[in-house]
Amino acid sequence: MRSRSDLIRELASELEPAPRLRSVRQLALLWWIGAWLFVVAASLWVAPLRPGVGDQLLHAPRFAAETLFGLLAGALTIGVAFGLGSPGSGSPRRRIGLALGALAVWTGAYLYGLFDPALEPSEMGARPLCFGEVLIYGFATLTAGLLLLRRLAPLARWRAGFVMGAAASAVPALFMQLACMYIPSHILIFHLGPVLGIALLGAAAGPLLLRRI
Amino acid sequence: MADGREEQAAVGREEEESRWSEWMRRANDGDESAYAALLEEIGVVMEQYLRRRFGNSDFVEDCVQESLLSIHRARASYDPKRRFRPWMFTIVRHKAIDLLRRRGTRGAHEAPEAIAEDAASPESEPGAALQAAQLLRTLEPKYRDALVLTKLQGHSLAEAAEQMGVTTMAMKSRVHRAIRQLQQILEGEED
Repeated sequence: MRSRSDLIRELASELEPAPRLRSVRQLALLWWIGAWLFVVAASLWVAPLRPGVGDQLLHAPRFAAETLFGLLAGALTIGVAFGLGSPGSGSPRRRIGLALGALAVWTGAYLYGLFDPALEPSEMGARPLCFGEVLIYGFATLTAGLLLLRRLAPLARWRAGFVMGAAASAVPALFMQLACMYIPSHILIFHLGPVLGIALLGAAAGPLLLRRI
Repeated sequence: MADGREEQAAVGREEEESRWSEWMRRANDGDESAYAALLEEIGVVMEQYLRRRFGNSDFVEDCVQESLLSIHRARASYDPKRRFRPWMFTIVRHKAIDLLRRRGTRGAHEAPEAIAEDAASPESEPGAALQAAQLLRTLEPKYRDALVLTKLQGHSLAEAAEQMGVTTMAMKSRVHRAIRQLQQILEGEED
């Protein structure tokens, strides 16, 4: 093994100015805005929103709350995902538990909805490829997220990839709440189901795409 | 009297914090001498930190150097508005566990002759060499001994299993659990 002094000399001699990074919050916000713009534009290009969804948001408080909670859970998860790229920001386990817990509660709303749905279940607005849309948009936003996270220093790469995958796919999953039909069993299988798949894909891709620190 | 010493130590730490943060900021602008000074100083602090936890073994120097390399790779992620110590020590703790997991047994860090000599010396008992290893003492003896024999003293799983009178599978499980427990303890530390 070389001596510590030799190592330090070598590291100092190969020092280059580090690129000025935006803060973790700014990166997360940048991703968040970009992901939503992309998902909304792509989804609307495929098909319009569910007819009457505006009225539903205004006049069905439980549906509005479900949607808002999904938005908050997604925002929390992306904050945690980018936060994992900054060592020393607090206990990763606690933060990940909070984010995944929020997503689980959001999912729980639809499980409850199997018995007592927030809206009258209807096939109005059915999109034939909603499952594929969530997968494809989720994959795209996951890739963008990992490429941004690469500029930071996530220590446990599979864990950061998993949380990024969950956050990335939560965006199209939530948008389908407004764009596709409202039937809780359909939502659970075809909108929220892919979230786990993309999260696992993120866990596998994390060690490949993120730098080893 | 004790309060005065504590206050002095706290002031010292704040000065250190401020100095390291400034050096890292200058290093990220390309200042080589600030960077070298920073790495020298934090290298010593890391060594003290790791020796208190893992005792005197070649693992400590490996871990210091790996941590310095990681800090080099991660330096762009340091935000000067935040404290340096938590950033640095999170990396050090992560590397300690990572290195323990990756650390092989015989051949990776001690030659067989060195292990044979070691085995013959009175200090070859796993517990005897760890008087300074506070962290390792928090483990249950069977997990601590498993970890020390394999990851720190370099015995193979089979040799360690024979020494402790268990199967190789059981030894592997003990090593794995020891590392998990250490990881939980380290992640719970505050800076």
